[in-house]
Amino acid sequence: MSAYYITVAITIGIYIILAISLNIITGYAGQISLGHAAFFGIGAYASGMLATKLGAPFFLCLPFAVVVTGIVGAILGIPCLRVKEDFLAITTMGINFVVQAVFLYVPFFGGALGISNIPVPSFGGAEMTKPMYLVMVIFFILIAVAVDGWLRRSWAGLALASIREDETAAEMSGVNLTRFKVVAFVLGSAMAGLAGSLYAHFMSFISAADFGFPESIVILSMVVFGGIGTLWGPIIGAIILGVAPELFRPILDYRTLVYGAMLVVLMRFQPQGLVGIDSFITRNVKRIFAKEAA
Amino acid sequence: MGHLLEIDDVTKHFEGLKALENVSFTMEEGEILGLIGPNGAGKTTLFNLITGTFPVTSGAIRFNGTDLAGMGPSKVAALGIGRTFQIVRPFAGLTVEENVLVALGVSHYTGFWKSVSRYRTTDTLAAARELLGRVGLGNLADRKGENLPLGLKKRLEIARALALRPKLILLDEPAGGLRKEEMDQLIDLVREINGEGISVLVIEHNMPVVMRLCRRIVVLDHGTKIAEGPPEAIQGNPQVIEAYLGREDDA
Ligand SMILES: Nc1ncnc2c1ncn2[C@@H]1O[C@H](COP(=O)(O)OP(=O)(O)O)[C@@H](O)[C@H]1O
Ligand SMILES: [Mg+2]
Repeated sequence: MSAYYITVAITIGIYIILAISLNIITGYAGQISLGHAAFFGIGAYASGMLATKLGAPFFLCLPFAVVVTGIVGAILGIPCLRVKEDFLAITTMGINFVVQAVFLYVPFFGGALGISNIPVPSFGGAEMTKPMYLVMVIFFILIAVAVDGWLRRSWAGLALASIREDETAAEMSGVNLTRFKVVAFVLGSAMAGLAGSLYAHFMSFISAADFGFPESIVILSMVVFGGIGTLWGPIIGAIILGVAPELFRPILDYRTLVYGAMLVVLMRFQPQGLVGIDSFITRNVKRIFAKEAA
Repeated sequence: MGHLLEIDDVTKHFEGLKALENVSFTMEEGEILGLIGPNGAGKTTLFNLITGTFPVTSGAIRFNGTDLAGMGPSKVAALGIGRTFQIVRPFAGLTVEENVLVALGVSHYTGFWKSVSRYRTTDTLAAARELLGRVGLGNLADRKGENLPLGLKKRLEIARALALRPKLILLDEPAGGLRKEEMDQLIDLVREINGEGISVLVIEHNMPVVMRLCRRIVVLDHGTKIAEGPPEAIQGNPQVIEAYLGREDDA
């Protein structure tokens, strides 16, 4: 595999983790977020700064990023608890702009220069090669999928689904809204922090521009495109929308525009996404299998 | 003390609008108590106060002697008060079985280890099947909540309330929108539930249904309690008649 393919694969791998993490907040708990890139950025900065300012090794930086992002997710989740739908969309968008502005204007975070010279993780005494890095990313994808699959089968996951369906009926059924929304925010943010750490140490240079609102739209597009609320949808969405700009280089500059337009069209004609229940793909796959079984 | 539910001098104002004014009554264990009154009398508001949707302006609500102030809906549900809604709200995108499972999980939503355990176990599925069988939804377990007709949605809400293993259930106009034979089935179901020792507080506009279910009725009008007593006394109470006729005059 050439270095180019490996780089693309690692990038898509990081998007897969981001899509899975956003799906927990928006797909399972039903809390729309237009600011997920903020948590991606917080994880990247936490990891990158611990590595560059204190010289901590990657295997300390990564859990640090996960914990910091989880905590910030809980704190920033507080203003999100009392608002719904359009107001929640605006609040999360606002969070994205504020976090990005903090990275950009607070000198502690490197300002416009961002954080550079983030070291490549070492493994067994030597710097990790790109293929090794890809293996590590895949390992963390498997962990994310495992956490996700566990969540779906747990009472906590059922509680999130009930909140998504009807908050009033959920709390009258014994589900504490605040507690479980915070669970979703923390879990989803922490996982985005993991993706951020992987991104920072792969790119070795990060700046506020990487974590803006357009990036949030890209992540959300992947989730919606693949099938919001499903286990595999976000993964499929991240792969397809991650590969697409590589195949059609000219759209790279217009990515947000194209994805945004796609979101609108999808919402109108196929809101379940590619693999959601009742999507045209799921229906046809089911039909094929039914035929074979017959 | 000694009462299952005690509504003690409860007042609720919504920014100047007096939805309830100094309402008091009690409910005993094992009772089916009717709550009636014209539209806008404050009946649903009282349910919302009991379940902790919003706080009382003044007064107190006690359940088995425990003051419910500041508890919030999920805690009140866990204490053993289930409810249904005047405008049905099943979990539309969840299956009928999952609808009931959500409430069966009430004791699992408090501790970390309990909430991370699997929800589909032999025990919980059996419990869900039993509850669905009781309300006549046994063969519709895999149907989406949104795909049921109104009468069955109402039954699903009752099953979900029962899944809390409640001591008291609050039914908000359970017969509203039902056909005659559905009403008869509903009355049987409510009696059956009550026969198992679950107390029932029921808001209902359909007088024959109220008369058949309840031995005691509380009447609200414009936020105040205007009468309380057995059905026969209520039917002949001039204040009650006036409240209802007065409303028809308005219309
Ligand atoms: N959440 C609320 N905010 C403001 N006013 C409310 C609210 N809930 C009920 N009300 C008002 O309180 C009064 C009583 O309503 P309600 O309890 O629904 O009556 P009903 O006896 O028909 O169930 C009505 O005037 C209603 O508009
Ligand atoms: Mg009402």
